[in-house]
Amino acid sequence: MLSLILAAILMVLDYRYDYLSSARKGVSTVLAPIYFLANLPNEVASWADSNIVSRNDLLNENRRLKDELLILKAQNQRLIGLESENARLRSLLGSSRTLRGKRVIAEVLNIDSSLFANELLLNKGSIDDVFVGQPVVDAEGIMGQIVEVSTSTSRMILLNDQKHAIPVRVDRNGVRAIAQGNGRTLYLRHLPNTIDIEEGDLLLSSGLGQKFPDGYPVAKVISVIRQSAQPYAEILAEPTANINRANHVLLLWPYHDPQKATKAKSSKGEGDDDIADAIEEASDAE
Amino acid sequence: MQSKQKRGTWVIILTFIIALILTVIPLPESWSPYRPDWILLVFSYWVIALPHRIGLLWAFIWGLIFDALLGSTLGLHSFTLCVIAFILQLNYLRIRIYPIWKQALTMGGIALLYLALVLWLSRVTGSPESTWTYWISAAIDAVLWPWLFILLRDIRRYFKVQ
Repeated sequence: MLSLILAAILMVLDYRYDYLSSARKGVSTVLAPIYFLANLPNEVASWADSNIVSRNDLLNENRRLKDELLILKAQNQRLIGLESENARLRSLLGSSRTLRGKRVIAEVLNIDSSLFANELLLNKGSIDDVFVGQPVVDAEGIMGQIVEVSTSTSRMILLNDQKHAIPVRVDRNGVRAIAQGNGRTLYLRHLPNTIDIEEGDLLLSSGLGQKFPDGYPVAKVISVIRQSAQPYAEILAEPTANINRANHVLLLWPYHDPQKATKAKSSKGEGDDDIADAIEEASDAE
Repeated sequence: MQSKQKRGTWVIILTFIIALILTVIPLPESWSPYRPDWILLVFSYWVIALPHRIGLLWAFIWGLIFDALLGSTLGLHSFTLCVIAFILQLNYLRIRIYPIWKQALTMGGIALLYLALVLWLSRVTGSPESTWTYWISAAIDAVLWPWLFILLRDIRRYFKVQ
């Protein structure tokens, strides 16, 4: 009876408040070997996959990758030019611009770890400076964010989980919305029937929640249902990231400019300096 | 007497750890509803076999570890396993003398209760609805019970866990 009450109290504490996160972190750290053991068959399979390949296959793959690298490099050159131009324009407008911060590739531990939620385990933890709320992306778009960190592993929640929502804007016309998960896809909440969103529109992250960086692809609209009897349009979107198949993901850190941090300290509360800083930064980037 | 009572704790812990690994080991997407509740089965066996040792305290601790492993609300599985332990502690004498098919049926019923409690508690703490395939694992538990029972009994006799 006592343990029942204790368990109930624990549940309330964990659900309502945040007191137990350190205890949870400790236990998850101890449990890390179990995750790695359970992931072992998968590791072995992928090791065998990459080691038992014919020379011909390797040569072919190498050639293909080199071609791809060349194409991507060429595209990147154009992007650098655009980025600095964009930064200059933004600084003229007086708005801060997005810069690239640190990024680290994490591996997804192939583990069925959660009961009902859409969550993944990653093999990077607090020793790699992972923090709660950190955005996670893959090659195609935003995947989700970190919800729990232990020493060597972390747990991320996917975009399409029912407890997750992300602020987005439509790439075509800048209409803002909030995309919430429904278990499989995303739906856009509280948009009037007259809103200008069509099937096939690309949704980008708007950066308004200060959690996700601005301008990453999030989802593609797959259906728009407008019923005059309903107050809101029913809009479904599918995440662009490979949410169900990703093996490697990218963890993003926000950009911290050490120069700017010291400057902000020395000149606190002087609004004009912000714009000057932004312009300076822009010229630094060039 | 004291030393005799405490024999083989490491065997029990090892079986629990194996059960934990089996719980999170990846299965193909289409198989995942058929995953048995390993923790429940192993735990039930030890309660029935050694009710004087494995009780509410073990249920509480392993439930917490299980919660941390699955990332569910801390205490959810503790609560559920404590209820199961309580029921089994009251009925272990009866269950022990059942023929094995009847034991399996009983375990199926207990697994249903376990699943219902887990679903209910995770609904309360804000998790989404589930599909009917969620309940299949109770039947799998019942089918698996005789084999697991014999296996664990042999292990217990071999290592003389008391």
